[in-house]
Amino acid sequence: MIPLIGNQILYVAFAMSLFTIVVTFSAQWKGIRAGDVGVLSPNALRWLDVARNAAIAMFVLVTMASVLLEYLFLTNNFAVQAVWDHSAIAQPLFYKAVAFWGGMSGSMLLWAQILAIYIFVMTLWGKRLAKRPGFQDWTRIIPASVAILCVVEGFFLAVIILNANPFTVMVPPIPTDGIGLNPLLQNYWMQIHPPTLYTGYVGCSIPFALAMGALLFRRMDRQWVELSSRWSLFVWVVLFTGIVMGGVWAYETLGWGGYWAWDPVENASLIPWIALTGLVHSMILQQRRNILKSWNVVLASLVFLLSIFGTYLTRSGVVVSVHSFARSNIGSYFLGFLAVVILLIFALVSWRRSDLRSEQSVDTGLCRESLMLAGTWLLVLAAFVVLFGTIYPVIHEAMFGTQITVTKPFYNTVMAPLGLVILFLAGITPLLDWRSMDKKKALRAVGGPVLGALVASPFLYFLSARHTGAATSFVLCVMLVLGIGQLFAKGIVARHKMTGENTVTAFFNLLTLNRRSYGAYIIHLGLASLFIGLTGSSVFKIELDPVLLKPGQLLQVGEYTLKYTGLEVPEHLSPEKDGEIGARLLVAENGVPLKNRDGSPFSMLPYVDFYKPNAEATQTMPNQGEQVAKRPAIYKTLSNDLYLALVDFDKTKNTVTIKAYLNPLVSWVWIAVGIFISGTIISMWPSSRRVSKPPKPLRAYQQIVDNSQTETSEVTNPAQDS
Amino acid sequence: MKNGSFRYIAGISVILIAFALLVMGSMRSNTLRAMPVDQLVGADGQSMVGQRLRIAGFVGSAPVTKTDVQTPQGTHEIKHFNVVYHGKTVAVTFQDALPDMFKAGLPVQVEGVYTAPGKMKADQVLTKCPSKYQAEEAQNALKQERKSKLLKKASSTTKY
Repeated sequence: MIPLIGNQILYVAFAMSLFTIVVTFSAQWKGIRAGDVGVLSPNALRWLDVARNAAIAMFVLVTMASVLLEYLFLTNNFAVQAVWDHSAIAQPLFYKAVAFWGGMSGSMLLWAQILAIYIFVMTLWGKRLAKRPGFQDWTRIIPASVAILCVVEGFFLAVIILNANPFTVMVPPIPTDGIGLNPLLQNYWMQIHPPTLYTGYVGCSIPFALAMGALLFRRMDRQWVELSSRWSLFVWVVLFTGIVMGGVWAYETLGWGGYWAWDPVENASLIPWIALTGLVHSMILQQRRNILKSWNVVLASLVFLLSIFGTYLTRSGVVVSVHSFARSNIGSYFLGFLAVVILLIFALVSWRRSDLRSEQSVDTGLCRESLMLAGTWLLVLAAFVVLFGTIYPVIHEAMFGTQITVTKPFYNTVMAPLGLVILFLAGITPLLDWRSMDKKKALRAVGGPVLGALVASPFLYFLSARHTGAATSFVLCVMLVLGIGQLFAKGIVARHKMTGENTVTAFFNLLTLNRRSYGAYIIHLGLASLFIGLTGSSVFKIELDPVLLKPGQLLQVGEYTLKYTGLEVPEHLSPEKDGEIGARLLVAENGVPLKNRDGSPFSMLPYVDFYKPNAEATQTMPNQGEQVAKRPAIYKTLSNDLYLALVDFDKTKNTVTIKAYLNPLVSWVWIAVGIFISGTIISMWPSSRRVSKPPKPLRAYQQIVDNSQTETSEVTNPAQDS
Repeated sequence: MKNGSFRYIAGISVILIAFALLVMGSMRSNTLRAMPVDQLVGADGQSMVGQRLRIAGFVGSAPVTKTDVQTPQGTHEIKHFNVVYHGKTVAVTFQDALPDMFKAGLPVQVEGVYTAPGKMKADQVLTKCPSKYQAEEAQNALKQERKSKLLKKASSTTKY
C-alpha cells in the first residue's frame, strides 16, 4: 500500500516540477523576450507566485516520498526491493535509517531530495530579495533560476520513476527478512559522507541556474556575481568536505592504508570541485571589474555539466571502477540529458552574446588580476586532465577496441607539476596589487615570503631526503604561509596606525570588517595544510609487506617499534557482530615505550570483525559465507600516522599477520578541511555594509532624476564597492 | 602591445605543448591492459603471457589456500585463489593483505603479471564498494562456474 502511495507521490512531484517550469517561463516570457524584468505585468507576477507555490509543493511532495521510503526501512517492509536489498530485521535502527541511500534507487531519491531542498531554499531566498535594497528586481529573476533547477529535478524524478524507483516491489512470495546492509557500510561515515557529498554535488547546479536566469533577463552584471559567489563558495566547501569524508572513510575503515586511489568515481566528484575552485576565483574578478562575463557563464555551466557527467560515470558503469554500479542502461538517460542541456546553453549564450562582452579586459602584466586568471585557467586544465584520465579507457576502447585501465601513477605524475604551479600562484598572488604594479614594487611585495622560503629551502630539501618534488612543495607552502602572515601583519599595522588598536583587536577587526579578503587568506592557509599533508603522505609513505608475528616478536616501522603481545577477544560483543578478535601491540618510539596519560603503556589494537549473513542472505547468496571486516588501528600525530591492519591470525598458535604503514603528515589533510570551513564561514558571513551598485542604466537614470529635481530625492543606493 | 601579446601566446603555447607531451607520455606508460577472465583464458590470452594486466571477474568458490614463504624481513604468507568469469578461471597468487569484501562470488579486479596460461601473480586486489554491489550478477557468475566445472568433469582430459 505504502509503496504504491510513494510511487504516486513521485508522479505528482514530477508533474509539479513540470507545472513550475511551464508557469514560470510563460509568466516571464514577455520579460525574457524584452530582456527587461520591468516589463512583467502584475498578472504575470501573480502567476510567478503560483509557480513559487508549485515549487514549494514539489519540495513537500519529494520530502513526503523520502519520509515514506524511510518509514518503509524503519518498519522492515521487505516487500520493497530497496529495503530487502539493504536492510534486515536484526540490523541496528541507525543503519536501517541510513540504508536509504545504500543503493542506486535510494541514492537517486537522495539526490532529488537535496535538490528539492535547494529549490525550496532558493524560492524563499528569492522572495526575501524583495526587501534587499537594490536587489528588488531579482525577486522576479530568481524564479527563472528555480525553474531551471526544476528542469534538473524533473529529469531526476523521471529517471527515478522509469529506471530506479525505490518503491519497486518484490515479486511474490514476499520475503520475511532482508539481506542486510554490508558490514563495511555499517559505520558513521555511511551516515554523513553521502548526504554531504551530494549536498555539494547537487549544489553544482546552483551557479549554473543563477547564470542562466541572469542571462535570460540580461542581468549579467555585478549583482549577479554578488548573489552567485556566495552560493558558489558554500557549495565549494561542502563538496570538498564530502570528498574528504569519503577519503577518511576509506582510510579509517578499509585498512588499505590510503585515502585516495584516483578511482574513476572518486575523480567524478573531484573534477567539478576543481572547476568550481576556478569559478570562485573568476567570479571575484567579475565582481571587482565587471570582466570575464562569458568566461563565468561558461565555467558555471561547465561545473554543472561536469557534476551531471560525474554522476553519469558512477551510475552507468561505463568506466570500470570499484565504486561504480554494474553496467546498466540508466546511463543513456544522463547522456541524453547532457546533450539537451548543452544545446540549450549554446542557444542561450549565443542569443545573449552581446551582454557577455566585457567593457574592460584583464590587466596583463604582473598583478593579482592576471595571476588569478592564470590560476583559474590552470584549475580548469587540472579538471580536464583528471577527466581525460578518467574517461580515457572509454576513448581507447572506442578507438582501438581493447580495454585498458589508467593506473594511479598517471595522475600523480601529471597533477604534481600542475599542483605545484597552482600552489605557487596561491602564495604569490594575494601579495600583489590588483592592478598593474611596477617590477620594483612587486618585488618588494613578494620579497619577504620568497626570501624566507629560499632560506628554508636547504633545510627542507634535506628534510625531504633530497626529493625535489616534495621539497618544492614544502618550500612553496612555507612561502604561502609567510605571505599570509605578511598580509595579516600589514593589516594589523595599518589598523594600529588608524585606530591605535592593539594587535589582538586589530586581528579580529580584520576578520570582521574585511571578511571577504581575510577569510580568503585563511582559506589559502588551508591550501598549504592540504599540500603538506598530500606531499607527506604520498611521497614519504612507508608500506610494509604483511609480517607474521609470534608473541613477544618485534616489528620496526620507521621510528616506531611494535611488540606483539597476544590476541584479544572483547568482553562484550556487539549484537550485530558474530565475532571480533584483535591483536595487542605495544608501541615504542625511537626505543622509548609510549605511555598513556595515566602512565599505563600505550598499545594499539587492530582488530577484525566477523559478520555472518542472516538466513535470507544465505538463501540468496549461498556461497557468500562469513563477512570479514578489518578495523585498522591508527596512532595519529601531527607528524605521522602509524597505521596497523590485522590481516590474519591463528588462535591456536597465538600468531598474527600484521600489515603496517607509516603515513607522514596525513593529519594535515584533515586539518585543511577545518581551515577551509573556518575561512569560508568568515568569508561568507553577511556584512551589513555591503551594498552593490545597481546596473548602469538605473544609475544614469537616477542621476538624471537627481539633477532635474530641486529638492534632494532619495538616492536608492549609497554606492560602495568592496 | 601586439608584440607583447605574441610573446605571451608563444610562451603559453610552449608550456601547454610541453604539458601535453607529459600527459601523453605518462598515459602511455601508465595504462594497463584490462580483460575479463574469459577473454584472457580464451584464444586472446596466449599473447598476454609475461605481461602486466588487470583482470576482472568474480572470486571463485574454492576456498583461499595459504602457503608460507621465508624472507629476510620475516615470514610472509602467499594466498592462492581463483578468479572466474563465464566459466573460465585464472589461478592467482597474492602476497599482500586481501581486501575486506573478498568472498566467493563477489566482483574482483586483480592487477599483476600473467605468468602462464591460466596463472597470475598479483600485486593488487580490488573489490567493489558494497553499496554498488548487485547480488544477482555474482550469483550468475557462480552458477556459470559450477556449470563449467560439471562440464569439465564430464569431458575433460586437460588439467590447469
